[in-house]
Amino acid sequence: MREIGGGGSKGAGALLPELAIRGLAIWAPGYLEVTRLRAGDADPSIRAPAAELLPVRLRRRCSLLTRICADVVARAGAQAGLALGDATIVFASVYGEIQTTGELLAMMVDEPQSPLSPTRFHNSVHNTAIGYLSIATKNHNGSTAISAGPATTAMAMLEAATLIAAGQGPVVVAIAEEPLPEPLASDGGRFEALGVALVVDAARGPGLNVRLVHGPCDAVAPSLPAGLAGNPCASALELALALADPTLRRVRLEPTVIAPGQSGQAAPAAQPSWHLEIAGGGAG
Amino acid sequence: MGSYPITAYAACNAMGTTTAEVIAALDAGRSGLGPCPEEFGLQGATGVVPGPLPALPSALADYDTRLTRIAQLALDDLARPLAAARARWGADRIGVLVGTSTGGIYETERAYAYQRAHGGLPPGYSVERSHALHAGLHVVRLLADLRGPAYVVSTACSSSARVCAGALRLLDAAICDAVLVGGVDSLCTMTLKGFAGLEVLSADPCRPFSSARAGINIGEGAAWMLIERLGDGPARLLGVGESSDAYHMTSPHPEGLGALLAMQRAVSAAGIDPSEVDQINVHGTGTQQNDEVEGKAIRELLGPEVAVVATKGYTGHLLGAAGATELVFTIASIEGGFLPASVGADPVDASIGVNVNLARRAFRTRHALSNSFAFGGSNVSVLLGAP
Repeated sequence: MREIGGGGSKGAGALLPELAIRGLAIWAPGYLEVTRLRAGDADPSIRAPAAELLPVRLRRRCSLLTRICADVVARAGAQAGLALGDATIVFASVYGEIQTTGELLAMMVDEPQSPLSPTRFHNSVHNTAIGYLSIATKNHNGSTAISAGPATTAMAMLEAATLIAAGQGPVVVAIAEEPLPEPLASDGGRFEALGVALVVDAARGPGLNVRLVHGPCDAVAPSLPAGLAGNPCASALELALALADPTLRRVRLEPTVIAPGQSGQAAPAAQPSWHLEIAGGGAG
Repeated sequence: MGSYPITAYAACNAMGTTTAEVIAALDAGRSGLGPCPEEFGLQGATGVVPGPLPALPSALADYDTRLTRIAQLALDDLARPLAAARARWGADRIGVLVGTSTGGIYETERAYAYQRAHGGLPPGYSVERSHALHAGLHVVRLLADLRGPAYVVSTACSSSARVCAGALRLLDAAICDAVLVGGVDSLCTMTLKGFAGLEVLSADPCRPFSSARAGINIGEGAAWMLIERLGDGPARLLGVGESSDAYHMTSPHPEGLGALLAMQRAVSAAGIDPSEVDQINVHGTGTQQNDEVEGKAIRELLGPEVAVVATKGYTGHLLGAAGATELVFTIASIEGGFLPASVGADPVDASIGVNVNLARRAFRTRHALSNSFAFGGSNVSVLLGAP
């Protein structure tokens, strides 16, 4: 076992700082608040993200994914009192702009002679949301867009922690996933959209402080409504639930997977995985 | 920010299927651009990886795509240095950061066509294993037998330069002792038709920084670099600068603000003076506006004399693999003591006002920058140094 970011590391010691969570926002159909998500108390009037950060004309043109991202980043930033132009944004998603990509794919087979829409094309890249956010907030920092399958939430938090260690905080982590289009959903599954934004910075005193750790973890994932549990970024919502729950001290950031070459016999809790140790409480 | 040796590198693209072939073509000024394969339905120069692409091992057959085959082809050349790094640091201590923009779109295009004809997705197609960005990551991680942190960076055409920033931070934070970084993209109809729709594709081989430039060519390929905490190698990774234009999704900031910021940040992260940069491998796509704006930023930071090398005339624009590919070219030029010819740049556009290197010549590089700019105003500049 090696604990990364903990005090007891053997060999090359990891230098990850303790992190403060200064803002937290979620969006999912029916949910803007973590407390209502925990209770499974959906508000049916919440069907589209407000995304007020984006100019009105752009808001109508861009994808659900980009609007979710703009919405949660703005609300988390406001909670933290953060000027969004000064932050570094780490955007993370498994399938990214998959609805726009699906529209282009359908157009290419259904109207092979027609040119592709330039706007749809540039809106299909994984970094579309951070591109629009950088323009909307006049942010000249080097924001990034990543993807890591089941480890997407974990790698987004690792990227944030190493950015903060490098003095490039505060960081806004924005994790979002929109439904797969048909026919891809017939294979990849049908799930509801979600978005989570966290404002993360170096811890400088009491508050909701966390430490990113890699090692065995016995934490049980908080439960999610069925339509969200199947979302490939569900672990981001589980993280949001855990951070808002003062009774939880630990949250897993990735499902347990058997690493290549390892035997599959060990109990899941004994498999090393990325998780957060929660030092403070009471946000959310 | 620390500085770390790049102990090994590899690439495949239109110039060749092995690193040796690719570097020999760079040294000889031999472009790999050729006609676009018929299956893509577009005319014009394109950078295709030659020959049949070897399939993945049978254990990875579910992940066998054009993208993963190209990734594997280049990775084959790193088998020995990867084995040495695993023995030295342990597979758990070596990260894998992959830049890609297309992922498995090539396969998904075929899956959509099949679905329209047959009513269902083709047998063997899986959105997670054939399409997803992390499918390529998974394959690279298994082929390289590495178990450290692993993620894909997908910021369009700056993806595989940005992975160098992540690698520096993972090494500085002591999360990893080595990181395999690089990028891979495959040709697909979507990028060809998408850039055609933006009206920036050139039918003829592209001519970055030339007065005759008329747009970009699309290419495919992969490039990998092994960055280690300690060791001997042909070059060192000294610093990475990242920035956002915050201006427009596809047009660069007219004053080159984001490009300038990225280069300044790379140089200042390494603690050197801009006058110590001897050569710069430009983003140099070959469109009117991009080259002009990049030239403006180079003049402002480095002056009109620094040697400018533009290499997309060899490969086309490799999109998510462009950054790592051009870093490999720059490492090879540092190692080989030469400056490659900027193929297609003659006659140079004098109005850009930078010193474009036209013919191969012997050259001693102390410090070199490599630029990568992307949709969304996403800019990365990487500073390399002699060992």
